[in-house]
Amino acid sequence: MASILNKFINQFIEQAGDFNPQLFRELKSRFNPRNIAIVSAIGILGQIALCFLFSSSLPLHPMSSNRYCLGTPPPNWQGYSDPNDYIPDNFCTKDLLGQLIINWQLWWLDLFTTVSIIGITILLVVGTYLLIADLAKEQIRGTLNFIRLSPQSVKTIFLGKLLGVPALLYWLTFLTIPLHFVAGIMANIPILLILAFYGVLIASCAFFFHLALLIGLTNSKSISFYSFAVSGGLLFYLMIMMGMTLWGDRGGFHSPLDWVGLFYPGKALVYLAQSTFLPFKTVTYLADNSLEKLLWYGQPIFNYAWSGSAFMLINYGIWTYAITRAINRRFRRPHSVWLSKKQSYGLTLSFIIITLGFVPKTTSSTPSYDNFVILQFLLFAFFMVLTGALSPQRQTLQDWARYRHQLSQTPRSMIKDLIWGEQSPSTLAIALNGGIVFLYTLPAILIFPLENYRLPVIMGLLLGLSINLFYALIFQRLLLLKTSNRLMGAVSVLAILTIFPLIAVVIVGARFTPISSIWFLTFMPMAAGQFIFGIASIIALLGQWIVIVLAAGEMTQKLKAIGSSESKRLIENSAQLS
Amino acid sequence: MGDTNAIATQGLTKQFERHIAIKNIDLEVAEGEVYGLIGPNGAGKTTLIRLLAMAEEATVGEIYLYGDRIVKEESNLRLKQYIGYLPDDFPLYEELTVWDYLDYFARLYFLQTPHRRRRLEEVLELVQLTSKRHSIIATLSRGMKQRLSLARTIIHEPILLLLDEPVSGLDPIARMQFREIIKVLQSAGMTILISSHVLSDLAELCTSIGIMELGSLVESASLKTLYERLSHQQIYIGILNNPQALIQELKQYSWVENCEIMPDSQQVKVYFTGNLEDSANLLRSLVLAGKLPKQKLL
Repeated sequence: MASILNKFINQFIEQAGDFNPQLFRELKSRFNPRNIAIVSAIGILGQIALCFLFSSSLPLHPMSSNRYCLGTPPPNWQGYSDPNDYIPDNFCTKDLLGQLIINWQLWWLDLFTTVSIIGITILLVVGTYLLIADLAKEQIRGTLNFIRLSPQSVKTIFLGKLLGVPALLYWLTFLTIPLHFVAGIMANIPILLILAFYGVLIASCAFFFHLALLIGLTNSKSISFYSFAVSGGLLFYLMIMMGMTLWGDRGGFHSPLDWVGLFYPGKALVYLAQSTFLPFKTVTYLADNSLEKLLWYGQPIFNYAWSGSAFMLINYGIWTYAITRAINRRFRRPHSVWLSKKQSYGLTLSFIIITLGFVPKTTSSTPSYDNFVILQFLLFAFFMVLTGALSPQRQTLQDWARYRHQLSQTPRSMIKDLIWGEQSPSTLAIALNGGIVFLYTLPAILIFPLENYRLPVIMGLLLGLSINLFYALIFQRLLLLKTSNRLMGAVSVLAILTIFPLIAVVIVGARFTPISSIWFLTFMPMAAGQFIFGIASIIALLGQWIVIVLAAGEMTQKLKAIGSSESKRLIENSAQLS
Repeated sequence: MGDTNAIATQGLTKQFERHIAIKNIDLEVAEGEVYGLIGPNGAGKTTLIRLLAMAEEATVGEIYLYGDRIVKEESNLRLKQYIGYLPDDFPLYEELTVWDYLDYFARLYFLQTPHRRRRLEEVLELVQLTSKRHSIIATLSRGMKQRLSLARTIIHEPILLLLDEPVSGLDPIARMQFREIIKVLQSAGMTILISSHVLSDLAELCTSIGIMELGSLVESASLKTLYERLSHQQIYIGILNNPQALIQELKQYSWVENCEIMPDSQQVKVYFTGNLEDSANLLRSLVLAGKLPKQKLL
């Protein structure tokens, strides 16, 4: 029996290897009979335990109260020892055949939801951990270079990794599908919706696993620590989102933060629960009207399963694609920037199109000003990621400064190089990305219901984008220093620059008071409210621009100095050699 | 550019921070050659090989392999198939068996069954690991692991082999076995670039030698030319008068190939093919013959 199983597994791996050589190597290391037996035992025993647990919650006796009972107590029923035990419509009675009347549909829905939530959590957290840990191992061992030097495409290699590294996890999921599917059918969830949920789950795996691979490609000695930190962070996110999805009845924050919630695949479970037509007071979680309240550019696209799922899929698709581009670059050239400048413009446009849609509050009487403040926070986070992704390392900048005219086959002007070039400093590109955000947001500011807050929003947006540019400039300049741990130093300085003004604001308690000019020093100047439009803000903006111009000038001089001193040294060396 | 050369580089430079690891190297290696790269530690041999293997990108300069340019910022997937690269460390997937390890790399290089299976067997036989095909790699000796790495390097029948210090750390028997394998590969027509900091490791294998020092290629020539150059010492003999007489005297010695009077007529330049002992004997003979040289310069 064991040899037949072994033969079958080997055949499977051979065929998988013909499809993808990297998958062959990953399966050879993990997909052996012993591991399969262990995972199968865990999967089957876990499901049996879960079914027992749910069975134990079924009522055993009539004349009692239970979540799965459908009856109502007879008039003048005095049977409850504690009046608090009284639950209307959950009274256990028997039918004419003497069987307890049980709401099996609800029981199956509970089982379906539980398996879904556990499945999502295990699949994403463990999968992310495994992928980062695997790449960390490959980097530490030095084997990743061999794969890098092979003639296989990056796509093939990472598809093999994505399918192979969590192979046992997929096997566990595969074993769970029959119970999950049957539970869904028994809960009267349409098959199409169950399949759509699987689609969203696969898309979320693709997104988070690609992200894990990208993090795994970080050249860091602490990469082993990252695998714990990232999967721990993801677990925290999933727990928060699970709580909000299951028990929240507002459908989210009604702000651009809802975009963050869209990365939780469990969000789609609301549609599945809705489709059962079980009333919310019976189900008590996954509020059926929660997504109706979620609007995008005022449109209730989350009201319908098809459009809501499609939006989630498109959102996953855009960011997964961006990550695949970054993986492609970082795998082939480990010291390159994560994104090309061209890609960054597209990404910024996508980001602002999606997040701005969650700003208007059409169902609320209050203006959308607070949502612009939240959008500014998200923009700050996005620009910090963009700065990190676009800023070349010291070595690259030095090479660019010294050999710019020799590096490219088709020499181009300095401005073009700063806008499109791979190795040039990021500052101008960050400024252009800021410009894209401003140009796209400006019409929205004029259209959205903002009452007398329009000018403060425009001014706040300009101040925020300027300070993001200033941070990007500082970050790029710090990367040019000769110190040993430049990256960590640059991140620390930025953290200080962003956190300290906020602390100052908290200490002074400056919100909506004339002292709110302190907000102008933070990455969220819009939080200064109506005081943002005044002479102080204009002075702050001019001050920021002067500082930016001076800092940019200083960095240009530094880069010129690097280039010229090196050229001089090379000329001297060659003269000596000749 | 470089149509007849397996490797051709133009102004190849690699800079790490302030340190220039490779300086303006123009290297040419003809097809079918075994080219030895010699130099002390830190001379830039490994960096040069890594650049050729596409494990690093040059700061400036161009590399041509069989006439095709390595394009920066591109995958160069076709060119990667030409190359077999063995780095000085040889990381392995220790948990795999020898066969599975080679099978994986054969698949990475698009080898299809049944050719793949045949090739695996050929390579295992060549590196004398056929009996270890089902062994877990972690259980192999260092020499076996080194041979397995070589097997991995040649599994896809590359036309250019880049071997970085392949015999360092091996015992004499393992070194000998390794050299024998390289000879077989050479006879199969592969172009091989092999580095070492010990000339004796390469002397019997190479057809050409390049000498690296402080990131520069200070010498690059065929082994025959290099031997000839090394065997032609030039001795300058200072004279007081009558250089013709000295030349007549010198021509009697078999080690003296040619002589010429320097423009200042104060020195005679002697093209000498002997070794240090021979030069001592020459000096003694001249003294005994009464042709006492004023000074001897090498």
